[in-house]
Amino acid sequence: MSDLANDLLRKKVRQQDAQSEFFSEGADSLGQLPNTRKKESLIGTQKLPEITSFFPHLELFTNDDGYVFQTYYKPPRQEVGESSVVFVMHHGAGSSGATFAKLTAAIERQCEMQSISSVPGVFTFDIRGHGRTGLLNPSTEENTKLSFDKLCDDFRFLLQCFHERYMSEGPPPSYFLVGHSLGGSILSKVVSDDVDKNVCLKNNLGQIISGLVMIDIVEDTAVKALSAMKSYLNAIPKQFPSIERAILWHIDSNLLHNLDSSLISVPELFTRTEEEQYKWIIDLRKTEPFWHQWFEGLSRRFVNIPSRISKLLILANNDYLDKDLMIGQMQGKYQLVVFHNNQLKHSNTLTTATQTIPLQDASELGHFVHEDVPFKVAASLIDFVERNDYNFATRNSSSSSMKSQIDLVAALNAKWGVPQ
Amino acid sequence: MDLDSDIQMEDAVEQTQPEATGKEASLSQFPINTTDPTTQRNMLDGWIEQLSQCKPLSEESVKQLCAMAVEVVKSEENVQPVQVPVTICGDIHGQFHDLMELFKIGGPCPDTNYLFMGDYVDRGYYSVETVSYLVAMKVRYPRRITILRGNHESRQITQVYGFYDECFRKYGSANVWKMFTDLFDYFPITALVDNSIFCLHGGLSPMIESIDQVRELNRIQEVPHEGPMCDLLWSDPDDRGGWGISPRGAGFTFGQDISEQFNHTNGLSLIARAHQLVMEGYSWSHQDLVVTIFSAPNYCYRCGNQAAIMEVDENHNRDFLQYDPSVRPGEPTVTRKTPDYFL
Repeated sequence: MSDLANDLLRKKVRQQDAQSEFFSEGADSLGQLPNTRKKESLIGTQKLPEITSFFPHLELFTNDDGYVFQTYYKPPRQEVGESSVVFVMHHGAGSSGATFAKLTAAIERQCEMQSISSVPGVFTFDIRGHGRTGLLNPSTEENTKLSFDKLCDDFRFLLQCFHERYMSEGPPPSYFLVGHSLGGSILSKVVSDDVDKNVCLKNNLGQIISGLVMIDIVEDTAVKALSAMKSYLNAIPKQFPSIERAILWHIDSNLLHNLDSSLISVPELFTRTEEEQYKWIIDLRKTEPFWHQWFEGLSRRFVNIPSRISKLLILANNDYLDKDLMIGQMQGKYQLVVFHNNQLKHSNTLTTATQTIPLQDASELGHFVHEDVPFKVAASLIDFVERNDYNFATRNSSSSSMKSQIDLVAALNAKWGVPQ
Repeated sequence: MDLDSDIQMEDAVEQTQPEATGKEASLSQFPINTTDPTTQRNMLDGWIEQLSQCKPLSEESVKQLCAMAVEVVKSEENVQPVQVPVTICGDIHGQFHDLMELFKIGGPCPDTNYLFMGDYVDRGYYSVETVSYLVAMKVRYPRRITILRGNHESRQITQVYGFYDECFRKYGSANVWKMFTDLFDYFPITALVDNSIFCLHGGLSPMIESIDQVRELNRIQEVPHEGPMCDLLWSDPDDRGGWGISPRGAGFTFGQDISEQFNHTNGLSLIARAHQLVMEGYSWSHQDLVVTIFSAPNYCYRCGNQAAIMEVDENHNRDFLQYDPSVRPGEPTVTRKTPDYFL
């Protein structure tokens, strides 16, 4: 770590201080002492967290074309013979599977806090050209072929592979698909194609998809952002002298607001050059030909997915829904959760149904809302599953503070004399 | 602005005539330090005049207004009785100019009686002016206008969907937001027009079989996340029968069988509700047992929908008046930071 980077990192850590879980282990022993030096040396000796501490199973899946994908899996925890809930998470362009590491940990913590005995699993991966997947495949041409159809094919392949590998025995799980940004668009397309019998998932996998969650993606806003994207990508640094500098750049430019999350997510975006520099694994400028197809028709597609598959849209600060999403929301076609900086600042005025651990969430949030406030997002995801997955709700209804919505509805319908 | 000739005795303006015998009673209705009833009436008229030009009140005036309004609405019932004729309106959402258009189409208040079914704030650019205006009208003509609570009349929702930001922008602090959201807790949650039309923002609750059960609720609180009060402000009618889980994440969906049962049990002819955008401004469902009324045209300046209000006359005849967005110089363009979408 260069001295400069060290200084910057320390400065940043002092600013964030109490919020940093990563550095909090030593906090007690540091006590009330005027201990800046001690803290600095503590940071200096810390290693960046390992992805395996979040996802115990790292596996490579190779498709028919010989293209290799890095996947990450944290299995669900439930009683033997019971069916499970698995979140299948799809990151956005320029990101990697590690963007969901903190969220995955937060889901487990939230379940523990709410005394939910069965903890959903998380399966995710690095998409084509990104993260370790990008490094695993020598052909740069294949790595930048990010057409919308190809990305959808990749997802279908990975979900099918995952299901065969881990879920072929025992009761089938409920899948809840979670996509950030471009990931949300791909998942909407895959679900929509399956529902429309356009392109179906194999083995009727579509039948066990219970929910679809999109994180911070609105078609109209995304399409408008595209015009500025090229100059933005030209303007950002092409490489960094160290990973620490890359992390701090992400924090300082307000892309990420949670240092703990950035320590695990940012290193996965870079590869070391022979000149000992750290450059981006994917050069997004090469994907420009595909940008428009990534988002076109997204909002209408999402809204029109039938209600058998529950839908949740999570937005960061900006509730600027486009026409299709606005009409859909105002007609009650999906659930909308907006995390707003206002609420973080005035949390004392709120009566929230769900407990969170605010100290481990950042005090600001942005596009990577699941990295910035992983506990709040985890709480929303668990709420959403409890509301919409029959097995999960029933199983946890006795131990959970929240009632099983589906049991409740069944009982209420019986009370009103509605034939089941 | 002289509207007094049309005001019945029961209205505040009459009660507060200095020579009226019920002077004490009228004063107890406004237990604020200021002024005699005539001054109060003049003050309200001044505020209404100012607000009708889409100019927000001072913070001090909002404070006085909300204090007066609490006294007016807290004595109203959970199921506020309303007489015909009345014009029933749905969501407004801060679209102030469209609200003025609504009063042009429906006739000025207090000449016309109005019943608003909630969602005055959020999303539109003039939530402050809209809710100030309606509340001022409510205080001025308490028997002529009824304002129910919508799911957006809540502390939590307004922090996300614009009203909080707007208050902060227009007053430099959250004080006005706090005054209004404290007032919202007192708003009645349903109304019953001539024992025949049950009006509320959202829809039915599986915990509520009779209107009497609504009367038993303690409504003076923040809108809860679940339970009957939450459902009344959040639920939607649905094509599927029975009760269902709402895709919104709060409230329930209810089918025609439920509406039939509820209307039969309570001797109702109709449930009138708002909450859902309908492209024509109104929409029948459940074989005319339920009507949805939405009064914000081109919702949020982009949805392209018509708005509507429903007139109910002395003989319970119903008539819908549809309208388009009011012509105005143009909405302020709110510049938003373009997000760095894929990074």
